[in-house]
Amino acid sequence: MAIPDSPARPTQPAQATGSPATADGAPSPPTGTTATGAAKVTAETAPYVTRPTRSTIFLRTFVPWQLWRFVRINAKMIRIIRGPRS
Amino acid sequence: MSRVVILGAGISGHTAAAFARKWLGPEDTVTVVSPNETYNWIPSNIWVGVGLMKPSQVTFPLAPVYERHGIEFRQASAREIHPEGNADHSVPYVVIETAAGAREQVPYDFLINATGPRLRFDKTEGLGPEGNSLSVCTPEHAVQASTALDEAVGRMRRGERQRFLVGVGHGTCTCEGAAFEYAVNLEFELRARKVRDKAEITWITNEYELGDFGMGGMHLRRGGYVVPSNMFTESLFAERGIDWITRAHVSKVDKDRVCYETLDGAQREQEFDFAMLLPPFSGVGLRAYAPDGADITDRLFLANDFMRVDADYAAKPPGQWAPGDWPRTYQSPAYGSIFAAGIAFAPPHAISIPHTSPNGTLIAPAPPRTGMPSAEIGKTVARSVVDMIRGAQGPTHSASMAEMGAACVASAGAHLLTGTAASMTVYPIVPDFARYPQYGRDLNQTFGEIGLAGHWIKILLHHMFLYKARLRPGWALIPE
Repeated sequence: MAIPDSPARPTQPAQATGSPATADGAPSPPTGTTATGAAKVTAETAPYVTRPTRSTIFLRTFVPWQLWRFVRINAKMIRIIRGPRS
Repeated sequence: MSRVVILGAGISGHTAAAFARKWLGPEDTVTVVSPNETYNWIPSNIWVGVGLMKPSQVTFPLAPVYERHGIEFRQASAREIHPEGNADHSVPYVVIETAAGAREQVPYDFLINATGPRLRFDKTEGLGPEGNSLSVCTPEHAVQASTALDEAVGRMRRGERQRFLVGVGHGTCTCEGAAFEYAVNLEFELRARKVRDKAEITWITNEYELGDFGMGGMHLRRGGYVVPSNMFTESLFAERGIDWITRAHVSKVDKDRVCYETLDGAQREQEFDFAMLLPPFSGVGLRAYAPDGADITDRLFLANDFMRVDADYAAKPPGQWAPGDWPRTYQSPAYGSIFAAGIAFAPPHAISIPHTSPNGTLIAPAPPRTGMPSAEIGKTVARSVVDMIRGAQGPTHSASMAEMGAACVASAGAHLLTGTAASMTVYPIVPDFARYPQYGRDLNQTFGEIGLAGHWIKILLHHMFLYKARLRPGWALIPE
């Protein structure tokens, strides 16, 4: 059974943004040409990349908080493991 | 008396063998055929590859475990399937071959093909440990990677800069998750060895966006928004100073550089001193024969050597993909006594939308079928086979990846107090836009989080799953 087309259904990967990632914001070279350099993205060439706040970084390794997260994450995983079966 | 033969002793095959043995009576036999002497807990190979574990910590000999539990073990490679026997007798059998070249016929009543992948380093010129790049697909490969890392660290300590390239070595690779784990563990390890300032790390992937992982990425609720997984992966890389190249097909690996094509059709190069690039997969190349000797391989396998099962293999555009395309029972449509589990089964199509460059190069991650789904499918197939031996007319259990969730922990640095890992759950694995129109998945059961707790869970899973694989007391209580 095919899924009915829905306006919400992506025709690209759900997280796609459109044009291919290019190195440094420069226009993509013409099709099939040889480009020098690389289509590489660095933190400098992608200034709008989301970054964690200092508190987020701190909490990632703050043991009391992580003990709680250990319990919560395990609970979420057990829910998935015990998911629907047939 | 029934004979169950399982080809492969990886996560799926070993799980199937263990449960089949547990559920079948002593009059029935379970035989495992594997070319490998040891079981390998592959998810921990990345830690061997950065020198944090020894191969002995991720492997154990299979023979004593199987002997203790009444499972017959043949250390050999499966070569041929004769599903209707031969001209002399109609009993189906497989032909296996030892490393020394000795061939043997092993008869079966039920056959589970769980052979896993053939590592296709040959698909890219210069790719692989016998070429110019490294791998962590096997413990031996991981040891080579670890040795090369030690040498690179030595050079950095002498003041040299080193360029590390980590990712996938072909446009159709899968297992981006394992390569991702290696990249971030490598970065963590270089910091631990105090040479990070001398290293340039680049991630190269066939994914359309970071965080795709061959399953079309995922969406998560975070901070009052529903956000895509690429946001987290980009953040993780940017935070660690890892550069990235997406939508890339590596076409050649030279001694110090890779040539790759991006989705815009451009041919590019990236230099490296150390490259860990995973290969594309195919099936292992089993052949199938009719009683008269006619080659019927195409009845059992697709062109990529993965086994046809109860999936819908009709070619269709991504807009027409449906959850029902995915197999439920993993039974061969040609022969009811043959099943495939784990990587050995042929998926009906990708999960991520495939793309082709203007030059006609396919740049598309293949769907992942490893880890938890692989074990779950192995167990489900074993359940159906046991029920059929007891009289059921067909498979009694199903485990469609479109109805199954998965939990995954991706290590991002191994240390008991400063390590982190990304803990993720996703439901279902294959997006179902009919049930979940906006994102294809249940956001109540799809989540991700980075932290030390994830690393503790990763360590726990390492020991727990190796305990289970050794079939120690209570092993069946540990979930897949």
